[in-house]
Amino acid sequence: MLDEILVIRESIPIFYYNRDPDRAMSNDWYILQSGFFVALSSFANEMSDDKLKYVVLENKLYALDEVSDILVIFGDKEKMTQEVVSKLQGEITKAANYLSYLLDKHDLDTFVPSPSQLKEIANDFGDYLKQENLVEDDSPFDPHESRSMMQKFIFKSIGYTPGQCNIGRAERLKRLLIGMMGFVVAIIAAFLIVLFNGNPWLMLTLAVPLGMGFFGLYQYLFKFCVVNGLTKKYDMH
Amino acid sequence: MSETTKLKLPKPELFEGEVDFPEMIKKDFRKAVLIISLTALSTIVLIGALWALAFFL
Repeated sequence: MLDEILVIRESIPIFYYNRDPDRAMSNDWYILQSGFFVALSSFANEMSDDKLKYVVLENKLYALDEVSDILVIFGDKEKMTQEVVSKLQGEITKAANYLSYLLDKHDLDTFVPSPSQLKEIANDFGDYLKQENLVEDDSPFDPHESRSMMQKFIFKSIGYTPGQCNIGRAERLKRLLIGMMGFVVAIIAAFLIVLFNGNPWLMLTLAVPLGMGFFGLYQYLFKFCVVNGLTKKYDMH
Repeated sequence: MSETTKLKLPKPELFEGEVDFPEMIKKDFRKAVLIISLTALSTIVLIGALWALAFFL
């Protein structure tokens, strides 16, 4: 995943920074990670237009804007408004400068960094953030419980809610249309059976169009695609 | 605050993708099973009613 990200962004490295209990030597041991969220590369590509660098640490995302020299922090507990950022301006600028200094020190702007370099920067930056009390949630990283801010941000923005809504308006209408077609076919077939044959057992053949009808209707009503749900996907178009 | 220091939030354009969080996958799976069950139940009930209607009338 890291390779993919670096290939896409080329000269702008992306760091996903976290603490990994499996590899942690002590409480102060931080490592850089990548690949926890699938959509990062596309997001990174989007952000590269604005020359942003970002780091995700525990429940926070630190985004470094090279133009404004600002480190944007997305937090769980406090909504990151302009006001909050303004209040944190001094610390943010300091942290941004420190991260810039680390990146310059390791000359990471022009080539793909090695894992040891990433680890070194992660440790240095982690130390700095802890010293400056910029890390509120310092609980050990649990990949099953923890949410990356990036992924949460994406899901929330596009309206995907696990177990509740995994398709958008266009996809819902598609399913409603298919469902209605199923019902229409079933009604026509039922009339034909009654009209020409009258054998009640033939009614059982209506299970297919009726099933299709209910399947489409329920997916429309629940805003949920069964196939997407079973194949771990979402489509919010 | 100057123009250059305004907070810029990344714009999400990822309208489709894959879910890789186990509990999210579990929730989606449960919902999918619920819809399949509801579909099967509704179909069975309606077919039963139609069959009874055709059989007794």
